[in-house]
Amino acid sequence: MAGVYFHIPFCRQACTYCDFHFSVNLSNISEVIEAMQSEIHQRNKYLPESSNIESIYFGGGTPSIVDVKHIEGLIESISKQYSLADRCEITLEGNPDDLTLAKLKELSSIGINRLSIGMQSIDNITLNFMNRSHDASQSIQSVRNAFDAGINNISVDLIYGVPDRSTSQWESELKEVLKLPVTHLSAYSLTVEDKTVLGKMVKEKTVVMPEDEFISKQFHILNTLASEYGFEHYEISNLAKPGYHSVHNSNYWNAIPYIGIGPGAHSFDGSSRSWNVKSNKAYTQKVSKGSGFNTTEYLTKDQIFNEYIMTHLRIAHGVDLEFVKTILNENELRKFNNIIDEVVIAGYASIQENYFKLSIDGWLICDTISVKLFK
Amino acid sequence: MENIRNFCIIAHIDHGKSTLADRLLEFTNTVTARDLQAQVLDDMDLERERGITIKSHAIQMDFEKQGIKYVLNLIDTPGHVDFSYEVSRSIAACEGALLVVDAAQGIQAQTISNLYLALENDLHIIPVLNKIDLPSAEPEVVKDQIVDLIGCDRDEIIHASAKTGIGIEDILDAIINRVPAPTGDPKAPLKALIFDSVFNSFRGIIAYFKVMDGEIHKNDLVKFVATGMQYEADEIGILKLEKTPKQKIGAGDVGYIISGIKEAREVKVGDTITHVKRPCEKAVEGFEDVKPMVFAGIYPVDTDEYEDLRTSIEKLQLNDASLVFEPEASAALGFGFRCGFLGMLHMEIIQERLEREFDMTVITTVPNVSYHAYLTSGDFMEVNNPSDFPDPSKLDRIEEPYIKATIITKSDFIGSIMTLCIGKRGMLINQSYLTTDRVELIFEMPLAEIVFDFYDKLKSISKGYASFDYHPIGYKQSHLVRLDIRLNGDPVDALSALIHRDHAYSFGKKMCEKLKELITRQQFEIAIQASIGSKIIARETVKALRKDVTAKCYGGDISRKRKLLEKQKEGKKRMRQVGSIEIPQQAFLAVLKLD
Repeated sequence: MAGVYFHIPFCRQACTYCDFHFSVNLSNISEVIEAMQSEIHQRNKYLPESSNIESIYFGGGTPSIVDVKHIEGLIESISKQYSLADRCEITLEGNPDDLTLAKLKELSSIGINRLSIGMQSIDNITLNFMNRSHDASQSIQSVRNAFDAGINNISVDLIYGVPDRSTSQWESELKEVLKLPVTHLSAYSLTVEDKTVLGKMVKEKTVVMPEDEFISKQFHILNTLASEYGFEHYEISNLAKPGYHSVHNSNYWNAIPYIGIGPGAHSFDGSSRSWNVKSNKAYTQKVSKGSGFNTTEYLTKDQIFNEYIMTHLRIAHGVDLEFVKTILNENELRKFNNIIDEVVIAGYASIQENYFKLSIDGWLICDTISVKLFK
Repeated sequence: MENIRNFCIIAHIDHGKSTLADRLLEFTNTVTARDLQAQVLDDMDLERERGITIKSHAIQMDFEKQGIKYVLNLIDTPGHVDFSYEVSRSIAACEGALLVVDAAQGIQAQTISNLYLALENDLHIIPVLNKIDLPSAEPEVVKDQIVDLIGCDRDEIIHASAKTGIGIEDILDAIINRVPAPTGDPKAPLKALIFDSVFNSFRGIIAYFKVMDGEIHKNDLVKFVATGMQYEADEIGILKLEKTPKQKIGAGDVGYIISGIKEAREVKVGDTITHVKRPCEKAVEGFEDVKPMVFAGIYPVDTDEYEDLRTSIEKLQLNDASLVFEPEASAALGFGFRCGFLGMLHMEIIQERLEREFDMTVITTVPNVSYHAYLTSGDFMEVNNPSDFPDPSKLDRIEEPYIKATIITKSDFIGSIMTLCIGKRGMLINQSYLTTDRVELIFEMPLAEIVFDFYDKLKSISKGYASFDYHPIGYKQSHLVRLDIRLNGDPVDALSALIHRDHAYSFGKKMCEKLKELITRQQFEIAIQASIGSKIIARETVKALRKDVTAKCYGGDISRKRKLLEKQKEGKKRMRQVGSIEIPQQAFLAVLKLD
């Protein structure tokens, strides 16, 4: 089992909150895609030859702004290198304003079978605040187009905890979205990152982020409402109808190896993590030289354990206490058990069939609990 | 003896003492530029980082002039008020001093008080105007200051730049020509002044001394007068870049002695070395047992590390006799030690050394001075810990230590410095203009006020221009109360402070505000209260944590997020659980950083 991630580092404009790697200079798309093709070739030993590719994910940036032929080329190269699983999940992230019926039909024809739509909101004031390039009607239309184009596995991104957006508004937007033919939701609370426009606004106090209680309430609404519509809240920020959990993302949390291609993309081979240089220019130059575009970090046993805790507290399935027993020594295990007992007593978690699972309120303070349980 | 010159350098921090020392060592070929570390005399990491010579050292240079070979002993002096006694002993070992003044910054308070010490000891002063190559140098103005201060001729002042090497030869010539040779009777019984000691993990304590009278030979049986201890001089020698063993050190010269001493407290700076068989009649004058001025509790963050902490403090004490400690117990922090320090810098140094050299993570509690309590029963007690503060109903009166503080500043800042000092319960004793725009202010104020963030404030209101020095002047009656901090109702003894009655309310309020900033949100609400006795005088609330980050966590996020959380975990190790509340290490010193 393995996955492939393609980072398409281009956007029409910068969203207020985003600190991902991208460029708004669209003139050198071909060059970067060419370098990515070369990277696939150069790193053909990264995953074992026998790897069966279960998922391919085009993320960004905004993959929907590049020509479909580029996407097709990248899929082809991967399928030459490895064998693709029968029901390989091939996801493409797209912005509503790019997702015309014609484009979606093309994407479907080259094998894209899952769409992740960067909807974020269906309220124009909110979209404007976020500096998104689409409006509310495009948001809704894009889902319908995808469905009509025959892509029936549709995920939408939503953001809650937005300043000046009331909880009742979040609730009504969420209801609208859940009525659409979507199979998956990725919902995030708006996070303030340092080097973003939002970060600057918060620092300068032109924007005040909402209180914890407000965000907590919206998170609860997300959980309750989505389950009313038949969604499973299977990870803190991922919800899906039965059978539609994201294969690609689930593999991240289950430490399945993946190769990340493109500027700023991360890879994981089971024991080390590596990442490509973030600048498009440096990336293309270094790839053409054939070296120096990639940095590697070898994980220690403690780090592997910490990553396990961090990712498994986030998933509904929870932390396997049998597995924890095999890792910790007697003293560490005693401390670990004391902490989980405390967390359970405080009402933030439960233990079911030897799995330690956080409750909704526990998820809200997942980082704090992770830190307590880290080695 | 007529060819020996013993001298020290008096300079304010950053005025170029260490650089000048380097140049002298280079010029006399004592060291080559290659083996010169950034600053030869400051060989503790901590010292180099802080740019302060914490512990003094000495080094011998050979210098030939007109066919005559001279021996020059440079005795280094610490540059901080916490160590003024050690400075006084170093000065007592010299016949001359280089007064180094920064040509851009002029004379500072620390320089003046050390200069007075040098003058009291009849040292010949050689004024040196350093950094004359700086564009901002004002040589004529600063020369006026020097002439005013020591009454020398303008042309006696040597122009130098230790950085570029200007004036180094002139300085060496002046040392030979102007500094008198040591006096002393080579035939008299041995009398040597210990002016410093260092700890060596292989050889034990190495004491540095100057022979005032007589001479010392290898294997002599010697006695340290103040401690009464006797030793055999296993090794004696002179201090080049490395220690150089000798058979004999004669009158007027400076050397070291190694005699298998294991503990620093057996070697007291200012003590006299003499022969057991033929002792000197009178010891060198001026010996004092150094007393700690500031006390604070030191506790392990992890209670399991109490014994390790004890071992570490004991080891530190081996090479720092001015550190005193005794075990104490705190209701909030468990078992730890009440330590006495020479001053705030000394306290910081000890804390840092514990962390760096011994890998201990410690909590230092609110520091306090030593109070004298007189009880209605007629009893007297020394209070070194707020928890020992007697019940007010049994208290007749309490006295606290006062200091004489000398501040030298540009006249522009007089107003704000007055406000600061009076706010700190200071009384202006004297104000005099050193030059038209430099003023010396003398205050009497409680030592306790200096402990609380005085120096930093002085520096910031004077834009770094004011310099400060102090000396204890005894005890005075005062109106003190004990201010307690309660977290969720329970008093945390380690956060208690003794405060003047008139300041208690504003202090309590600020303390609560500061703690609110420092204590991170936890899964429950935390009430922070300040109280005097059972009366609550201030309150703040830390709201319960409802949410941390609920952002996404995919391929590229995993390693970044793990690192972030691991960092938080590291931070947590520096927190102390008191009851169910986690308190960060720095909260215990919050009191020092109140605005």
